[in-house]
Amino acid sequence: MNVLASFLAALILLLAVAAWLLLLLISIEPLLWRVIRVHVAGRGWVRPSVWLARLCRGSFEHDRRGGPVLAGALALLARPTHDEGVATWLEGQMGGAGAIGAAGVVAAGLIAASRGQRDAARDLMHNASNFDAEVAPAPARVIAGEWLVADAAERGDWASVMRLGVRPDVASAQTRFLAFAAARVRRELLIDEPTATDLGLRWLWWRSADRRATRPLLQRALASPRILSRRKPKPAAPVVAAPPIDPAEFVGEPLAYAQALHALWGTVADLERSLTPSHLIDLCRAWDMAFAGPALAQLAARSQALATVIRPELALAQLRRAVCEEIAALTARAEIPLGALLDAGEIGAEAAILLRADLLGEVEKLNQGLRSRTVQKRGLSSVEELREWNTLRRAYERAAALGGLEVRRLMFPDIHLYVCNYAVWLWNERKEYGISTPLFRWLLAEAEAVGDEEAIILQRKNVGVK
Amino acid sequence: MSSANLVYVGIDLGTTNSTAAVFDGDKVTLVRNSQGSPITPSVVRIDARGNLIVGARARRFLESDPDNTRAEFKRLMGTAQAIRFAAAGVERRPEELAAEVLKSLRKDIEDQLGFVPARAVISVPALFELPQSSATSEAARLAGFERVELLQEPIASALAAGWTIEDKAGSWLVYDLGGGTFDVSLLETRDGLLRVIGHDGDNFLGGRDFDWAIVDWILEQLARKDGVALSRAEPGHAATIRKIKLAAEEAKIELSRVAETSIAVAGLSVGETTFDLDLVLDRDTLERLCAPAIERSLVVCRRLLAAHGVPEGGLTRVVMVGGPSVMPMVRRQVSAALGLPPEEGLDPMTLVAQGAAIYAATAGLEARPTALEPVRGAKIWLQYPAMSSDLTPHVVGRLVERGRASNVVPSEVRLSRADGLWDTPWTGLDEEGAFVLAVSLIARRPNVFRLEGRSATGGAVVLDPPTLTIVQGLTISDPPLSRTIGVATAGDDVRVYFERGAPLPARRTFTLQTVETVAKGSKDSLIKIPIVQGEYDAAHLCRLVGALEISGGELRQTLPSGTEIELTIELDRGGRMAAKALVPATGQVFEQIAHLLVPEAAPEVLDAQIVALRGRLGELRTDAFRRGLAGVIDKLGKAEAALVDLALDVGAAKGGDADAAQKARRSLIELDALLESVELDRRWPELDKEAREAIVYATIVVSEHGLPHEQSLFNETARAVERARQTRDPLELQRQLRLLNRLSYAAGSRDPEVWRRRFENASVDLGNLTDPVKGQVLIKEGREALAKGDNDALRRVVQKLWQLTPGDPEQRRRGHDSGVR
Amino acid sequence: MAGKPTMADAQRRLVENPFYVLGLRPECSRLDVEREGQKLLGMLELRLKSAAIYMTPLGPQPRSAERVRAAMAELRNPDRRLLHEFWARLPPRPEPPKPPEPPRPEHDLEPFSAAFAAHGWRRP
Repeated sequence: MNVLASFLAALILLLAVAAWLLLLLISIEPLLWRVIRVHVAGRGWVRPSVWLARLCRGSFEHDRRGGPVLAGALALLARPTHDEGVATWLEGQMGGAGAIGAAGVVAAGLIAASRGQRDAARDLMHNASNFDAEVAPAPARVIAGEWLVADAAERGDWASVMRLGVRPDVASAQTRFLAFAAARVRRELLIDEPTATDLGLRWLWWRSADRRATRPLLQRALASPRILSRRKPKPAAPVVAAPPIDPAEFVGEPLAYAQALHALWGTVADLERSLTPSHLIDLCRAWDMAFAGPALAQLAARSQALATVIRPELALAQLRRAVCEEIAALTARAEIPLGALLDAGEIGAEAAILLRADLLGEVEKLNQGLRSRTVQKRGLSSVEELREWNTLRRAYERAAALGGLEVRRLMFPDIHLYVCNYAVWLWNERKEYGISTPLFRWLLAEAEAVGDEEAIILQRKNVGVK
Repeated sequence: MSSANLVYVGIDLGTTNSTAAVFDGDKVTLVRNSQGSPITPSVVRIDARGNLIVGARARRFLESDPDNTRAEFKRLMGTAQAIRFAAAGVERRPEELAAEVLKSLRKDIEDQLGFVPARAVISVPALFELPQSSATSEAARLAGFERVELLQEPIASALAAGWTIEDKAGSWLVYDLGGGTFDVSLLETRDGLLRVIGHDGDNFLGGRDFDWAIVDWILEQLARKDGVALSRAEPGHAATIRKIKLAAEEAKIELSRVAETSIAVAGLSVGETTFDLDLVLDRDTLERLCAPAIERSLVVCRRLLAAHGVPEGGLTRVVMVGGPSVMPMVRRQVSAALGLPPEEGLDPMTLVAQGAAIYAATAGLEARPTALEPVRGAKIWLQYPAMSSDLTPHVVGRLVERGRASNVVPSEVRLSRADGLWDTPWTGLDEEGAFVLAVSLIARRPNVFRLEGRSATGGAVVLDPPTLTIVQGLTISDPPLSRTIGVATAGDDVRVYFERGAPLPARRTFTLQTVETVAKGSKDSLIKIPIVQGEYDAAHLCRLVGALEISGGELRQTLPSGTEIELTIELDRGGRMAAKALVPATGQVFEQIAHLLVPEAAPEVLDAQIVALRGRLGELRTDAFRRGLAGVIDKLGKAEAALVDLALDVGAAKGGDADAAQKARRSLIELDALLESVELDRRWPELDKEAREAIVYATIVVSEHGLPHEQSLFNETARAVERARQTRDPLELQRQLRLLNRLSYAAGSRDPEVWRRRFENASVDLGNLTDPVKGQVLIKEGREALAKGDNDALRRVVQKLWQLTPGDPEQRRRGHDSGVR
Repeated sequence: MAGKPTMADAQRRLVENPFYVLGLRPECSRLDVEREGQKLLGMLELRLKSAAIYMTPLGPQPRSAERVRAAMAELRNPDRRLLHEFWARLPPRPEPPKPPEPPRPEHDLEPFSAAFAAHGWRRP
C-alpha cells in the first residue's frame, strides 16, 4: 500500500514538475526569443539559433518550420560576410511540401537581403507584413516591419518610415523611435499618433539596440520643435538647373526645337520630380508643330537626293512612331497619368494609345501566364509563387496608376477571374492560406474601387472564410 | 616593302572545284597546280596504304572507288558527320578534308611564288551559317594558315567584276550558281563605293540539281523502255546510280557545245541483271529538265529585287559566276528574266578567287610570312587604306620611339610619290608625334609613296617603313550579315541582336530574364539561351546555331526566376560568333556555346514531318478552294511541288545520302514557314471581318448600356481600329480588338439578354471542356436559371463554364526550350 | 521582337548619331563620309588624342573605332541616312555646365545610413 501510494505521489510530483516546467517555458518564451535574437543570433551562431528556436513553440504556433529558419537567417545576417553554404542549408531546412508561413517568408527575405538582393527582399518583407495577423507569428511580423523601416530609412524614404514605423502589428521600439524622430525633424504628424515629447523620444531611444548609432538622430530630433497641429508639407522646390541643351535657342525652327526639348527630357536625372504634365504637353505640341509644315517636303527632297528605297511618307510615319513611343515611355517613367497626354494634340493622343496598349499588354501577358499555370496545375515553390504574384500586382498597379479608373475597369474582369481561380487553387489544394488570404483581400479592395457588385459579394465571402 | 613584293592571296574553296589567285596591286594572276590548271577539283582520296591524294588525280577514282574517294564535302561542313574511308579504315571530318585541299593549294602557291603563304582570304557562300563558317576557319587553321579572313562569295565576284570593267553607277546583280549552292547578291556602285545591299540564295540549289534531274530522266527512260527499275532510295543501287550520274554530268557539259549527245555506259548492273545504257539527250530535253531548277533560282532573284525595291529593269549589270552558269540555256533564261544580257569577258569559274585576292589587298592581308630583315630608322606606326576609291585619302602616322637623340628623330615628315610627280609639303609632328597627310593617287594602280623624315637641325632621317603602297580602286563597305541573328525566348519570340544586313564586325548586349529557377549544384537544372538565325518572327522557324548553357553545377548561387542575365553576342568580319553571358547578381561569366553544329536529320523524323505538313497543306487547299482565293491556291500549288521534291530527297536520305537529308530538313523548315504565312494571310480577311463586326456590335451595346467614360474610350478605340485596318497591321488590330471586346463585355453585362446569349454559346462548346461531366451539370443548372428568369444565377453558371475551357498550348517547347524572356 | 524604345534610347540616338560621330553635318557628301571615316579610323588605331572625343549637342562623347565603323555603315545606306539626317538637326557644342543638385525640401532628413545598425543588424 505504501509502495503504491509513494509511486502515485512520485507520479503526481513528476507531472506537477513537468506542468510547471511547461508553464515556465511558455511564460519565458518571449524572453527566450529575445535572448536568442540578441545573444545567440546576434553573434552569428546559425545552428544554435535554429535549435534553440525550436523551443519557442508557442510563438511560432502557426509556422513551426519557419520559426527556427527565421532565427537562423537572423544569425546569418549578423555575420560580417555572407556565407552561401549556410544560406543554402537554411533554405533546405525550409523546403519541403506544405504551405509557407510568414516566418518562412521573412526568413527568405533575410536570406535574399544577405545575398544583396535588396529589391527581392523588400518585396518578400512586404508580403510577410501583409499576411493575416492571426496566422503570422508575431516575431516574424515584427522583424519584417523592422527590416522595412530600416531599409526605408537607409534610402531616405522617410515617408515610409513614418507610415510603417507605427503600424500596430509590426511596430517595435526601434521602429517607433525612427518614425517619431523623423516626424519631429520633418515637422510632420504621424497617422493616429501624437508627436513625441522629449521624454518619450529619449525613452524610445534608450530601448533601441545600438544607441551609439542612433544618438545623432536623437539629438537632431530633440533640437527640432514639437508641433501639435497638422500642416501641409511644403511643395518640393522647383528644380533650378542649367540644362545641357537650351531649347529656347531653337524657337525659330520647329524641328530643332522639338528635338531639343525631347533630348532635354531624356537627360534629366530625377525625372519623376521635374517633369510636370504641362511640360509634357509642351513637348507634344512642339512635336506636332515639327511634323506639320515642311517636314514631309524636306524628307521628300532628301529622299530623292539620296536615292532611297523607302518612300518619304513611310519614313515620316516611322519617325512619328518612334517619337510617340518615346513620349509614352517618358510619361510612364515620370509616372504621369496618361490623361495628361490626351489634351496634348495628335502626337499626345497617339502616345496615349501606345502607352495604354503597352500597360494593358504587360498585365495581360502576366495574367495569361498565371491562368495557364492554374489550369495546368503547374505550381512553383511558395516563395516563387509570391514573386510571380508580386510581379503581376506591380504591373497591374502601375497600369492603374497611369491609366486611371477606366483602365482599371478594363483590366479588372479578367484579372478578377484568373486571380480568383489562382487564389482558390492555392487555398483549396495547396493549403497556402498565408499567400491566398491577402490575395482575396486585394481582390475585394479592387472590386470596391472599380464598383463590380458581383465581385464584391464574392470576395467578401472569400475573405470571410477562414 | 616595295610594291614588287606585295602579294595577296585569295582562295575559292568550292563544292566541286577550288581555285587560288594572287593579286599584286595591279593585276590578278591565277595559281596553276601541278597539272597546269587553275582549277583543282575538291576531291580527296585515301587509299588502302593511307596515301592521301587531292585534286584531279583523286577525281579519276571517283567513279571506280567511291568508298575511298570523296567529293562535295563542303555541303557537310559544320555537321558532326564523319566521312569514312573504308580501305584505309579511317574517318575524317569535313573540315579535315577541306584542309587537305587547302594544303594542296598552298603547295601550288609555293611552287609558283617561292614562299608558303601565311595569310589569305577564303571565300564562303553568303548564306553559309555560323557552324559552316566556323568549320571553314578551322580547315584553314589545320592547313597551316596563320591568319585567314572569310569573304562572302558574291562580294568576291563583284570585286573582281568591278575591278576589270569601267564602272557604271547603279545596281548590279551577281548570280552565282555553283555545283551545290546558289547565291544571288544585289550590289550598288556609287562614287567608287561598292556596297552590298542584300543577299539571298538557296544553300541546296546548284549544278548538281541539273545532274540529278538528268539522272531521274534516265531512270524513267530505263524503266519505261527497258523495264529496269532503279531507285535512288535503294542503297543497293547506289553504285550504279553513281556511274549514271557521272555520265549525266559529262553529257550536260557536252551539250554546252553541241546540240545533241549520247549517254552510253556499258555493263551496269541492278541486282542480278546487267544492262547497257544508251540514250540520246538533246538540248531541248535538257532545257526542259533543268527548267524547274533555273526557275527556282529566278524566284530567289525576284524575291531579292522586290525586298529592296528594285523595279523591273532597274539593274545596270548582271554578272554570272560559277561553272553551271556557263550553260547557254542558263544564261538565256536569266537574261530573259532580268531584262539584261550577262556581262561578258569574265571567267565564271575563277572570278571568286580573283575577287578574294583583291579583297585581301583591301584588308591589307599580305600573304608573305612576316619579314625577318630588320630595317634601321625611326619607327613610325602608319594607318592608311590599303585600297581606296578616294583619289585623296589620308595617311595617318605616329612616331613610335621617342626619346632618342634628336638627330635621329624626325621633327617633320613628308610623303612623295614614287613617280616623282607629286609630294606633300613638309609637315611637323604634333605633341603626340603624330601627323595626318592627304595624298594624291593615280587611278587604278598601286601608288607607292616614300616616307621621308627631317630632323630639327635639317638633316635627313631614315624612317621605318620607308615606303607605303595604296592601291586606287574600289572601296568596299563592310560586309553585311547575311541572316538575322537573335536569341529565342520562352514565348517563341526572337530577341533580335543583329538584323540581316547589319555591318560586320558588330557587338551588342541585351538584358534577358530567366523564367525558371536554377538551383546551385544541381546538374539537372539548366538555363538554355538558344541563339538562332533566320528572318522569321517565330523562334521555332529559325535555325538554331548554338546555345549558351548555364548549368546549376557551375553556379555560385541559386538563381531564382526573373534573374537578369546580360548576354553579349559578338561577330567578327567573317561572321564568326562569340557569346558571353554575365549574371550581374553573382558576377559570373559563361562563355561556353554548345551545339554549334548543324543538327542531324533522321529520315524517320523527316517522314513524320512530311505527313504532318501534308495534312496542313490539305486543309489549307480545301479552304482556299472554298473561298476562291487564286493567289493562295497558286502558293499552295508550289508547296505541293516542293513536297514532291522533298519526298524524293527523304527517299535518297534513307538510301544513305546525308546531303539529301540536310537538304530535306532545310526544305521542311521553309515549307513550314510558307504554310504559316499562308495561314496568317488567311487570317487577315477573317480578322478584318471580325473587326468590322465587333465595331458594329460595340457601337450598339456601348451606346445603350455604356457609361460615359466607356463611351469616350470606345470612340477612341474605334478610331484606332480603323487606323489598324487601313495600315493592315494585324498585331495592332488584335490589340485594339481585345480592348474593344472588353468594352463591349463591360457594357453588355448590364443587359440581361447578353447573358442568355453567352450561356447558349458556352453550352454549345461542351465537347471542348476540360471537365465535360461538370460541364453537363452546369448546363443543367443554367437551363433552370433561364427558366426561372434568374439572371444572377445564369451569370454565375456562365462564368464557371468559362473556367472549364482549355488553356493555352505549350509555347515553350516551340521556343527551342528557351529559359529566358 | 526588339525591346520597346525608351528615353534612354532617345539620348543614345542623339549622342551616337553618325553625323556627330564623324564630325560632319547632314549636308555633307558621300565622299566626305568615306574620307573622314577612314581618317578617323586610322587616328583611332594610332590612339591619337585628337580623335578621342567628338562633340554632340549634349556635350563631348568618347569616340571608338566601333562607333566610327557603325557610323560609316549607317550613312552608306541611303534609307538609314535619311533618318539620321532628321535627327541631326541640333548643332554639337562643347562642354555644357553641370546641372546642380536639386535642393531637398527644408526640414528634411538625409538618408540614415546606420538604420540597420539601430536594429542590431550588422549588414542590411
